[in-house]
Amino acid sequence: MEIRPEEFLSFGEWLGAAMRFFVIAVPILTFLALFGCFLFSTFRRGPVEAFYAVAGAIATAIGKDLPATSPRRILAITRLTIKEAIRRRVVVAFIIFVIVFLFAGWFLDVKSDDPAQLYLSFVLTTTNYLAIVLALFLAAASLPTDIKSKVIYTIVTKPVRSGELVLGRILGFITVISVLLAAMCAISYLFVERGMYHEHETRTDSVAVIPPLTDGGEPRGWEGSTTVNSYHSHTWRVDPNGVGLTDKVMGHQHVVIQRPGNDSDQPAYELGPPEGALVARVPIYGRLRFLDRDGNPTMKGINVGKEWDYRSYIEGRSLATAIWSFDGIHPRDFPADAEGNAVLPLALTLSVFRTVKADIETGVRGVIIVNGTNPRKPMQCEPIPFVSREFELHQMTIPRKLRPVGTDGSSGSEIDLFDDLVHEGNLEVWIRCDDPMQYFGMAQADLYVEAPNASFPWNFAKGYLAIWLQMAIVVCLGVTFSTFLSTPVAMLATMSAVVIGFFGQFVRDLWTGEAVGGGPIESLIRLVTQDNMMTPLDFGLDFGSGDIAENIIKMIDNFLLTILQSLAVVLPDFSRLSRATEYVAYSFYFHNDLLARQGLTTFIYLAAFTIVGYFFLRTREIAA
Amino acid sequence: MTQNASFFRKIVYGSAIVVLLLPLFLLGQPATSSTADGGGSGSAGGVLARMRATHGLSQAELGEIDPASETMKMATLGLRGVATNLLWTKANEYKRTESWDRLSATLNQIAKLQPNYISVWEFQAHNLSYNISSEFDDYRMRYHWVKKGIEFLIDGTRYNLRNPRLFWNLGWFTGTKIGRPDEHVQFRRMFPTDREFHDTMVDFININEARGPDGYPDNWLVAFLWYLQSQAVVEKGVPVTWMRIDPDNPGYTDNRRSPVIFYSDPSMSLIRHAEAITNEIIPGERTREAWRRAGSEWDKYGSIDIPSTWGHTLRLNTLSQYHVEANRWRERLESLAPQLREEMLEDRRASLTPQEREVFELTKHPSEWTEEDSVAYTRTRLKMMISDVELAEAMPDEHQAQARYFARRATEAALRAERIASYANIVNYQYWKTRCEVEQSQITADARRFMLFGDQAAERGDPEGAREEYEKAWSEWAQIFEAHPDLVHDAMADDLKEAIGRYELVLDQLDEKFPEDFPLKTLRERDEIPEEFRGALPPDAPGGQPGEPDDPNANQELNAEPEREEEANSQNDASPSEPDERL
Repeated sequence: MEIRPEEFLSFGEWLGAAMRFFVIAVPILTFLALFGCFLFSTFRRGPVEAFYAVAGAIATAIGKDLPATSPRRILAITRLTIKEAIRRRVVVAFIIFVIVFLFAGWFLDVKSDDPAQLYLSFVLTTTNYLAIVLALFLAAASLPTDIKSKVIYTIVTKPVRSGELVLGRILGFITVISVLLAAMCAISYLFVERGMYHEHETRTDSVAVIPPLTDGGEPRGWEGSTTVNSYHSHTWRVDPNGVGLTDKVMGHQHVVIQRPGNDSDQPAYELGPPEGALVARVPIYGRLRFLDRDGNPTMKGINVGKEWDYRSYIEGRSLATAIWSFDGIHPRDFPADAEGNAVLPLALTLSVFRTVKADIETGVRGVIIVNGTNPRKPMQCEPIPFVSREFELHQMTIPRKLRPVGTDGSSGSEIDLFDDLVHEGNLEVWIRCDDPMQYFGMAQADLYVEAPNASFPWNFAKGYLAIWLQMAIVVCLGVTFSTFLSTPVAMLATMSAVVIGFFGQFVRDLWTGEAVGGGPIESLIRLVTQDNMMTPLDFGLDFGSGDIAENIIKMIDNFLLTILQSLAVVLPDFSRLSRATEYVAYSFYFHNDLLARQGLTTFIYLAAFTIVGYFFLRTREIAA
Repeated sequence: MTQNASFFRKIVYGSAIVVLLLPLFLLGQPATSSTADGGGSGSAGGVLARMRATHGLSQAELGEIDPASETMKMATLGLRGVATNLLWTKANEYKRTESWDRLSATLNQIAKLQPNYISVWEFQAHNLSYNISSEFDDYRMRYHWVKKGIEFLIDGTRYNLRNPRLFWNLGWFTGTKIGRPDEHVQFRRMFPTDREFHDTMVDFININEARGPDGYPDNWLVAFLWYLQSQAVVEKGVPVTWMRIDPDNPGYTDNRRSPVIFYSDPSMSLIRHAEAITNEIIPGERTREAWRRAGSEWDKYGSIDIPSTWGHTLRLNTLSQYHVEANRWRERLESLAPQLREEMLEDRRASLTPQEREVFELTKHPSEWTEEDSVAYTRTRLKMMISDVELAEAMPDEHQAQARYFARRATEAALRAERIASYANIVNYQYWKTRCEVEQSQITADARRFMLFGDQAAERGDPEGAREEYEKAWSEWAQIFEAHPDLVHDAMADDLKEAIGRYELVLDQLDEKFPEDFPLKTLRERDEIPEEFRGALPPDAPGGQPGEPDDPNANQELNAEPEREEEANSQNDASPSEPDERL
C-alpha cells in the first residue's frame, strides 16, 4: 500500500501547515465572496445601495440571526427533515445495499490471494458510493421541492431563520443517513466475517511424523496438509505438544490441535477458524534517508528504471544503505520474548531488483543493523542477516540482547537493544543489500516497528466514520446548492463537486502537465481522431510560431483547466477523505491523527457551506 | 379546439411510436424455441437473432452463460464499453503501482463484462503469466502467477467453447511458460504435484493422459492435450476465420496463426517433453519411449494436409517425392541435349569479372572476403544458375515443344518442392524427424547415459572415472554422427559441445592434452568458419554444408529452430500488445 508523504505527519504537524493555509485562504475567499456579492448587487441596485445591502446582510447575520439561533427550532426542522426523508422512501437505498451484498459473491474474485483485502475494499467502497449518492439525492432535492410545493411558506412564516432552516436540513439528513450507515456497517461487518470464514479438515493420508534431527532423537512433531476449501489448502505442522499452525495462504492461517482419535491410536487434527486475515496492524513509521554506494548521504536511492518511482533502490555489496530513524521507542510498548525481555518487532516489505539471475532458489540476502543514536556512545549491533521476501509482509523481531560492532569494526560483548542503542526513544535501523549486483527497493513505509495490533472491529468502524464524514460534506454541498438552484441543477452541481473532489489529483496532474493528453478540448479532439496522447496536435497551420489551431486549443484548455484547478483546490478532496478504506482494506490501523485531521477538515467545510447556504437562502427569501 | 389539438397530438405520437416499433421488432425480435438454423416449431426471430444464429454468435453457442457476467452486462445499461475502458485504465494503474491482487480482481471484472472478446483474455492472461510473474523475485510466486494466467485462460474457454484460440494459448502457456523460462527446473518440479492446479483443467482434458514417466502429470504432455483441444475445435469448423490461409480473404490479417505451426504444436510439445526428460532422468527405455511417441506424432503431422497461402494444401512428408519428380523431368529435359547445360555454364563462366571468378571458385577463403566480395558472390551465384525454362529455350528447334513440356513439369514439381520446403523450414521438419529417429535408438540413449555418468563422476571428484565415461560417450556419438552427418550442424550438437568442454576440464585436472584422435573432431572444428559463410564452402570443406549448394533454403533450415527458441524466450519481457504475433 502506498502511503502518501503527508500521511506520515502527526496531527500537530499537519495542523501547523493547515492553519497557515487557512489563515491565508479564508480572508481571500471571504473577500472574493463579498466582492462577488457586491458586484452582483451593484448590477441590480447601483454601487451605494449594493454596499449597504451587503453590509446590512452581514450585520444582520452576525448581529441578529446568529445570536438568535435557537437549537429548539433547529431540532424541529431536523425532525421535519427526518420525517420527510422517511416519506421519500430513503429505505430504498438500504434495500439496494442489501441486494448488492446478497449477490456480491458473484462478482468478487474468490481465488484472490488476499480475499480479506478484496472483501473489505468492496464493502467500504460500495457503501461509500451508496452513501454519497443517497446524500446527494436527498439533500439536493429538499429545499427546491419545498419551494416548488410551497411548503417553504408554512415554515418561513413561522419565526424560523434561514440559518436554522439550513442547519436543520443538514442535521436532519445527516441523522437519517447516519442511522442507515450504522445498519450498513453492522451488515457489512457480518458479510466480511462470514465471507472470510471457512473450515478445513486434515487429509489423513498426508499426515507424517517429522523425523528427528539426530539419529535416535525424539520426533519433532507431525506435519500434513488440509483439504481444499474456499479454493485453497494449507500445509501444517504441530510440535510434540500437539499444537501448531498451518502455513499462511490467502492472508490467513489456522491453529492446529492434535486430539485423541475416535478409533485406535490414530490422533485426529482439528483446525481452528481462519486467523490473521482481519487485523488492524499498527505501524510506527520512521523517517527514511539514504547513503549512496560510497557511504555519502543522499536524498534518494537509485532509480532502476521503473515507471513508478515510489521506491528507490540501494545497490548490493556496497555502502549503499537505507536508514530509518524512529522516535518514541520504549520497551514497555513491545511484547516480550520467552525470557521476558521486550523485543522489537519489525515489518518489511522490500522490493527486489536483480541485474543478474544468480541463485533462483533463494532470495536476495540483506542485513539489518540497529544503530545507536547516542552521540556520546556511538554503537551499532552486528549485522543481522535476512533473505528478502518480495511483495509480502516480512515480519521479524530484533532480540533485546545483541552483539555490538565498535566504530573500529571489532565485536565486543553483549549489548542491550533498549538500554544501549535506544537513546531518548530514538533509534536507527539500517538496511543493506548483501548480494553483489542485486538491489533492494524501499519507500518510507516499507519498514516499520510493529506496535501491538489494534481492534479490527474498531478499525472497521473507523472506515465507516470516514464514510460518514464524506456523506456529511455531500449533504452540506447538496443543501447549499439547493438554496439557490433547482433540484436537477443542484444535483448536477453537487455531483460535479464530488467528481472534482474524487479526481482532484488528476486535475492537478493535468494542470501541471504530468497527465498527458491535454485539457478538455484537446482530449476530445484526440478521442474523435483516435490520436495518440503523446503525438503533437498537427493541423497543418504552422506559419512559424507553432500550429495556430493547436495554440488556440491549448489556450482555451488552459483557461478551462485554471477553473477546474481552482475548484479542485477549494472543494473537498474526496480521494483523501476516502483513504480510510485503503487503510482498513490493507489491514492497517487508521491512526487517530488521520481521523482527527479528516474530522477537522469536514467540520470546516460544514461550517463554510452552512454559512454560504444561509446567505443564499436569505437572498432567495427576499426574492420570494 | 384545444382538446382536439391535444387528441390529435396524441394520435400522432402513438402512430409515430408504432412506426418506430415496427423496424425495431423486425430487427430485434428474439428467436423462440428455434434451432440455430431457424428450424423447429418456434420462430427464427428478427434479423439480429437470425444473424446471431448464422454466425454462431448467440451466447449459448459461444460458451457457458454466467449469471454474474450477464448481470454485469445489464447493470452497465449499454455502457459496457465505457465501463471496460475505465476498468482497463484502473488495471494499468494497479499494474504500475504493483497492486497485484487488485489488478487480478479488475481483470476478472473486465473479463465478465467482455467474456467473448478473445483478445482481452489473451492479452490479460499474457500479462499475468509473463509480465506480472516476472515482477516477483521468488520463483514460487512466479509460478503462482503463471498459474493465474493459465487459470484465467481456462475461465475464458468456458465462455468461448467454440473458439480455438484460447485452447491454443493454454497449450502455449502450459508448455513454454512452465517448461522453458529461466526457472523451468523449479517450475517443472512444482507442476507434477500441483493437484489443485490440475483439478482446474479436468473439465476439458483428461489429466491422466498427460502423465510422464514418473507417473505425475507433465506440463508438456498437458500442453499437448490443450493443443489437441484447439485442433478439435478447428476441425468442428471455426465460426470466425482464425488461421492465416488466404491473403485475398477479406478477413485476413497478419495477426493470424500460420497453419503449418498450428498443426506442429502438439507434436512439438511431445518433442519438448522427450527433450526435457532426457535431461532430467537417466536416459534409457523411458526416454526412448518418449522420443518414439514424439516421432510417431511428428510423422502424423507430416502427413496432414496443411492449408497454404497459395490456395492449395501441402504435406510436409511429400518433399522428397517432389524432388524426385522434378529431377526425373529435368533428366528427361537434359537428355534431349546432354551437353547443352555445360556449354551454357561455360559461356557464363567466361563472362565473369576477375573478382566474381575469384569468389565463385573459392580461391580466397570466405573468412578473408570483403563486403564487396560477399555481394559479388551472391551476384555470381545468380548469374551461374540456369533455369529449366532457359535450358528449354536454348534447345534446338526440333526438341523445343517437348523440352518446354519437360521444363514446365520440372518447374512445377520443383516449385511445389520449394513451397513444401519453405513450410518445412518454418518448423525445421527434417531436423526434428531425424532427431526423433536418432534419439529413440539404443545407441543414443547409451551415449547420453555415458555422458551423464561422466558429469556425475566429475562432480564427485573422480576425473579418471569421468574421462572413461566421457570417452565411451564420444565413441557412441561418433557412430551416431557418422550415420547422421546432418546433425553435426544442428542444435543437438550444441549440447554436446558443452559436454566436450567439461571433458576438457577433466583432462586439465588429469594434466592430459586433448587427444589428437578425438572421435568428434568435426564437431569441434565446425565453428572455425563464420556461420554465414558456411553455405558457401564445398561440402567436403571443414564446416561446409551438406546438400545442394544451390539450395536457397539450406541456411534457413539451420536457423529455423533457434528462431522459435528466441520467440519463446522473448516473451518473458515482451509487452503483450500483440499476443497473436508470436508465431
